[in-house]
Formats: sequence, C-alpha cells, structure tokens
Amino acid sequence: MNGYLIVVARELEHYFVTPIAYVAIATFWAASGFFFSFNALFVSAIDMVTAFHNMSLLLLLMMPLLSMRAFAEERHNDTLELLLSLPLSETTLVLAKYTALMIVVALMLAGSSVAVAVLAWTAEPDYGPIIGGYVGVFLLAAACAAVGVLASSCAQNQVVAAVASWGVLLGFWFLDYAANLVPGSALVVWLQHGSFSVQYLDLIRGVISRGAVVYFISICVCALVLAAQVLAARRY
Amino acid sequence: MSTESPPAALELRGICKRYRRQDVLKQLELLVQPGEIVGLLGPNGCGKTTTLRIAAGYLWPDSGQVVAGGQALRPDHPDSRRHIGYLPERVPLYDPFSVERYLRFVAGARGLHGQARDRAVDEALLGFDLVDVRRRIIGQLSKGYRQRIGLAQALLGDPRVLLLDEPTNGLDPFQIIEARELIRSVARDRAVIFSTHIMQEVVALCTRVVYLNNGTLTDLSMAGTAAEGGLVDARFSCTDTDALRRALLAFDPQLDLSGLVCLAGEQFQLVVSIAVERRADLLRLLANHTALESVASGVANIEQRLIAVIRAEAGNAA
Repeated sequence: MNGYLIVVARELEHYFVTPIAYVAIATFWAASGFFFSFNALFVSAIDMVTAFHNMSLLLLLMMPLLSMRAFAEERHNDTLELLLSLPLSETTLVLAKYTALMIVVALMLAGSSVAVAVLAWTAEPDYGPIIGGYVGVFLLAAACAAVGVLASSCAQNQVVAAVASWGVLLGFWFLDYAANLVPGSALVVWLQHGSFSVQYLDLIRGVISRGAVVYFISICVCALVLAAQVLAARRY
Repeated sequence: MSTESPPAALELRGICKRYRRQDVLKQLELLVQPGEIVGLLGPNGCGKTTTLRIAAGYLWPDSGQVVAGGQALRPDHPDSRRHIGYLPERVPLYDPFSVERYLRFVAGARGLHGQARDRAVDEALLGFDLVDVRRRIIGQLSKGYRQRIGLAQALLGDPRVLLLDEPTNGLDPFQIIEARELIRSVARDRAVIFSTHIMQEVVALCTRVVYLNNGTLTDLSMAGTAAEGGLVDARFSCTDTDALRRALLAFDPQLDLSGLVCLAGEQFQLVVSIAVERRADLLRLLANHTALESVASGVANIEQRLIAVIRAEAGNAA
C-alpha cells in the first residue's frame, strides 16, 4: 500500500511540476466553459446533458494525450528499468499511475462545476441527474484512461501510444455503426451494447444504469489487468 | 567451531536466457560474497547488461535462479528485490524533480518511511556530496552529478548487493576517479558487481574479475591463480603439438592446456599457471620440445589473463 501511495504522489508531482496538468486542466475548463456559454448565449439551451456530451467528446480527445506518458515516457527516459527493479509489483505501478491520472481527471471535471453554479443561479435544477451525469462522464473518462494506460504500456513511443489509444477509443465509440453491416445478426446486440456512444447516453442523462456502469468498469479492469500483464511479459 | 562460509550476498544459479533464438546466457553460475567487488568484463553485446538486469530482478531468466541476501527473486514477490541496489547503464533520473525529491521517492519505494527515509536521504546526500544541490532540478545538473545521484539511489535502503552497469561511462577522468572512490567506499560491507569494458577500471577496483563471452562466465582470477604461483607466458615454434601436449600432461596432468594457442602457422603461445618451484622444469620441457622464442613469467595481471582466455576461446573455436 505504501509503495502504491509513493508512486501516486510521484506521479501527481510529475503532472504538476511539469505544465502537463495545468495545460490539460486549463484547456478542459476553457473548452467546456466555451461550449456551455455558446449554447446558453446562442442556442438558448442551458442544460447539462449537452454540457456532459461536449465534455465526453473533449475527454475522448484528451485522455490519450494525458495517458500516453504513463509507461512510454518512463521507457523513453530509461526510468522504467528503475521502477521495475524496485520492490514494486506491476499491478502496483499500473494502479498508482492510473489513480494519479484519475485525480487529474477529477480536477478537470471539478472545474466544469461552474456550469452547475450558473444553472443553479438561473434556474432550479434537479441535482440528481447532474450528479448522475458527472458519474457517467467520470466513468467514460476512466475507461478512456485505462485504455490509454494499456496503450502506453505496450508502446515504445508516446505518440504511438496516443494514436493507438485514439484508434481503440474511436473503435469503441463507433462500434454500434458496425451493427449496420450485419443487420439481423446476433452480433447486432453485442455491437450496440459494446459501443461507448450507446452506453454513455443514459449516463449523461443522469440515469445510472447498472449495465452501463458494469460495462465501463469492466473496460477499466480489463485494460488495467492487461497493462500489468504487458509489463510483466516484458520482463521475459 | 563452525567452518561454514558466510552466506553469499548474491548467487546466480544456472541462469539461461535466450533472445531471438540465440542463447545469450548459458547456465550462468556466479557467487559473490559481501566485500567483494566483481568486475564483469566482456565484449559488446555479450550479455553483460542482460546479466545485471536479471540479477537486479528487472528481467527474468528463462531458467535458473537469482538469490540475493539469502532470498530467491520471484516474480510474485516484488519484495525479494529489496536487497538489491541497481544502477543501469543509462542513469534513470526524473529530470523535472529536485535531487532530494527524487531520492525521497526511491527511498519510499524501497520501503523506507518516516524518519528512516529522512535519515537515509540525508546520508545519501552527505555521502555523495550532494548537499549543495539537494534542491536543484536534476535536469540542470552535470553528468558527474547525475552519476552520483544514480549511485546514491542505488544505495538507498542499504542493499546487500550493488549492481552497476558501466558506472563510469561518459565521465571525465576526474569524475572517474571520484566514482571509483565512491564504489570502493560503499563496497566494504556489500557485494558489488559492475560491468565494464575498460581494463583500467577493473585493475583499479576489482577484487575479482569474471569474463562473459558466448553466454558463459570465466573467472579470470581463478584462471591466473596468482596467489599460488605465477603465470608463464611462453612463445615458441613447434612442429608437433600433439607430442608437446602429451609431454606437458605427463609433466603435470592438472595443467590447464586451454592456454596453448596457435598464433600463426607453427607459432604458438602457452599461458599457464604453475607453482614457482616448477617453473624452471616447465621451461626446460618447453626448450626440449619447441624452439623457444620468448618467456615472460611472474604474477599475471588481469589483462594478460583476459588475453589468454580470449585466445584460448578463439583456439577452441578454430
């Protein structure tokens, strides 16, 4: 446990002694604020569902950039050799890096709560769906981050890691489109249920469906377990 | 009174490693006692770094076992790496961090907490003369400082085994002298293995030298057995080496004839270790069977021993 916390602290420090966290958080706050304001001023639609949808797309773009450094940077800087020769397991390293990444994501999402304050000031919103929506966006980000960490554990190069995780995430996002290629097939249900864009819809509307939660958590677990396995396999 | 030898700080037992269908390490055996500084010599690409990585628990062997501080390294027991300090060839540093923060991280990851961690970091800063730069960003420091930080991190947690992969690589002559002093000072109560291909490094530091080539280790110190006698290095012409071999074995059945190598045509070199009182007899035998051209004797230095081993290997391969 202590080794885990030590690595979490080091990772967080790394995000904040370099401009990475500041740029990511500021960009997310600015972009999500811009979209929210644009809708409020020009579309006359002040609703959190649209805001969550925009946040989801932003996270889909940003998570590969944030997660690409997890292991690919360590490998590039020759510090992975240090980490893997310390008395820390691969699982500890993966979980610690993932936790630090999710803390940065939480800070990104926390900044967007300004939109909720605006909403509360101009109307009387139902906070249940808003909290549910945040849970949904956080779960989507968690799945994207886990896929990014997996790509980073596989790649020698950060750019390759980012592009690979974009590829995988876009594949998951548009998986339901593939259902049109096999109409009437038993695969249709699988493809639709396997799609990010289908699963996250209920969540950002504030409906915490058990299936969607299990789906995103399963992706996180699978990706992180695989990442630890990739690191372990590289020892041979 | 017990006559048992103290437990080895590091033991490599039958280590085998294959890369791309090539045997890099073949049944490697090595035993290093506390206080020993073992130089790991070998040509580029012979597997020195792989050996150290396996000993450090960064890589796993295909077969065999590493035992450090009496504990076998196991993939499912990361804690078994606690007895090992490791400085890879390229010093693994986090450039955006301060020196102190970096050392605190490594100390924490090695299981040191609270006051123990503070004390270990302070000692490392003092011991490696890093106090003045403790708050400096690592990325801004010179190569000499970076090497020192690398050595300091390897020693955090007081490991029983210190593995150094070409620790003086890229340092200027003053920094090399400084690094040697540091290695010598930390080796008093722990086992040190360092890889290098610089002969002076070995002569200046090592208590023992092993040579890695074609996946096997040759103990050069044993090859010389200098303490018991000395080395005879004779060059001669010989037309009937079979007769010479028979005569040499009749003279001493224990004689290691791997040191008999062909230099060119009928030109041969014999490098053997022999007791001082038998040296004259051996030379007489050589004079009877060959046309002696030169004889050098005395305690062999590492370089001579290494050359003898390399020639013997080349001779065997031919």
